[in-house]
Amino acid sequence: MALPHQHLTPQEVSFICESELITIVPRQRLGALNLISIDTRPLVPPQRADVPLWLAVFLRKQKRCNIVPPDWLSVDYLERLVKEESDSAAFSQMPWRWMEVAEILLDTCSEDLISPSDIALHIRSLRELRQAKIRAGLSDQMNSSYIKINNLGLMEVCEIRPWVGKVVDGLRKIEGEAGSTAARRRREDIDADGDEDMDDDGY
Amino acid sequence: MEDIDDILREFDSQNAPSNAKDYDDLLKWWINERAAPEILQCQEDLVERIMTRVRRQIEQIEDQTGNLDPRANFQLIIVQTELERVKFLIRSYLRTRISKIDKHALHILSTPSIRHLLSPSEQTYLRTHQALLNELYLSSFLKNFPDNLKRLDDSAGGLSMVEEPDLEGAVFLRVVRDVNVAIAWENGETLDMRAGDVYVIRYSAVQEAVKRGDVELI
Amino acid sequence: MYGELGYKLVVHAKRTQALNQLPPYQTDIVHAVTREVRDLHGDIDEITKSYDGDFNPSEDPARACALLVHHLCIRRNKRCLLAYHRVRAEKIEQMCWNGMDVAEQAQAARVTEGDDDVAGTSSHALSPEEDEYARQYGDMLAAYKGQWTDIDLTGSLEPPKDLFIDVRVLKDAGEIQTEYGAITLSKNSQFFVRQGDVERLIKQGFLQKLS
Repeated sequence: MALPHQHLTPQEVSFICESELITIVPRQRLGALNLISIDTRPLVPPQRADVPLWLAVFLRKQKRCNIVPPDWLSVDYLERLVKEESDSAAFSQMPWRWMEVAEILLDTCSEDLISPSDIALHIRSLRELRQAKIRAGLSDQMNSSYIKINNLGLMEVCEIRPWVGKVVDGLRKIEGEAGSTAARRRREDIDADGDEDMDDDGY
Repeated sequence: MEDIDDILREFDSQNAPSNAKDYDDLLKWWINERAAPEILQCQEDLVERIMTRVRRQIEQIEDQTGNLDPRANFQLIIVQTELERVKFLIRSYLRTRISKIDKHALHILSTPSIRHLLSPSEQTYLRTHQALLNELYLSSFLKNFPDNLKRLDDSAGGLSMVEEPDLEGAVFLRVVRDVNVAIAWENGETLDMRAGDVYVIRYSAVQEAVKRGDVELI
Repeated sequence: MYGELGYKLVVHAKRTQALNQLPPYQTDIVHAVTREVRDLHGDIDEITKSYDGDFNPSEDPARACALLVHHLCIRRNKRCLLAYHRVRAEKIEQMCWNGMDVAEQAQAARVTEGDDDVAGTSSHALSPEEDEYARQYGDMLAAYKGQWTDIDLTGSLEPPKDLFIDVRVLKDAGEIQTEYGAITLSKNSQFFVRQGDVERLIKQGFLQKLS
């Protein structure tokens, strides 16, 4: 039985990020919950509470809370980041889930953000700047047997995965003969017939 | 003077509820399993603990639903919403493993150390599936072959019929704990990986680090 | 030319991978490839027999070459047959995982076609051996699923979204049963319901999903 997708899909990346905790301001009371993945405390307006993002979004959609955006999701902070990003060749420090959290929050609770359209604009700029850097910068590191890509968020990693993986695979084919015995035993090195293609990359 | 909430929070973090950790752990192992080219150790105990809570939640839901307006029982909706998330996670974890078991069936069957990474029911699935496939091949054409050509795990002629996982492919990972890995077999070159770093590297170099939990695949 | 038929099978297999349905089983080609293997093996036997098992390749390189070519051809044919059957088996398995009762579908197809056997080939897609495989795999899957009923092993592999949604009733839609009891869907009323319960009615235009 084959999986439909070998690598994590964007929906799955969102799913993963939805377990992150975020601060909310409840608007209605809610009793404590014994859930499978977490035990929540009672929500008593207007006391702030930390809940998983999926729950925060759910409550927000039902108008039972407002979400407190993380510090970095503000126009000032993002403007500074955009400047930093365009001035330097390195990647600025971003929270691990920045792209996904930004997307989810812009999608579901833009009213809780100050100047959401400006925020969306800056997020897009950041994304484009960083993608351009990824493409340019990584080609410099292509001659090594590993690549360090610190400061990239999870979604960004998933986006570049297909082509970075291929390049590294290409490297390995060149240095394959001097490589490990496992590489030597790989069928692709031995079988030159066309039917090898049927053992595809997916599961 | 300490706020009572702060004191309570201190107690909470000391007796950190294992259910939150369990879910996080399964999330990590699911991601590992998706990203790793080979099958990893089945997290049976972890899955069983979470399944116990799943069953308890299902019972709770069944007990409480009746002629109720969903709005009046908002909490139940949240319980059900979370339940679907956990079901999805377990489901995807198990099926990711099944797809790898199918793909590398002969290799797993013939390598006891790998076979032991499977749960008992996965091993049963593997054996039964292979037996069914063998029967299919036999009845479809193999029975008409000369005797010495009836084997399904030939490796003569430089051609292996046993499909092995490709351990040399590139994986993406994030370092959980500082770890030192060997990256070049010939000259003993090693790499110091620091916690928080993100790398693209061939899987075989970090195989053991993944299993130990020193790095997590992404 | 030896190997052409094997190649045909490979082409069929490759095509099958891209399709959603299973194309008809190529009985004739499978038989022909198998026959070719037996013929080649017979040839090898004859050659080696005449040497009483004491064949020295360096003394007769031409014969050695012939033997090797036969041998490689046999191996290749075997790989092609295995690949062809395996790809089709995987499709059958996929259908089982998607909740299709493959054996039942196959049976229904046979019944509607009657006992056709046009020119020795059945118009039914699966070979009898594949029918049997589908049945047995389905049984095995059911047993494995049974160990995980609570999580619905063949359920969606997409992360859940919006389990419950707000809907507005556009046209009177009668009564529906939910886990919370019966709901009367009268025009202009609003409800908070499980998306799965009302998907069809939304598609049919009775309900509108509110964002």
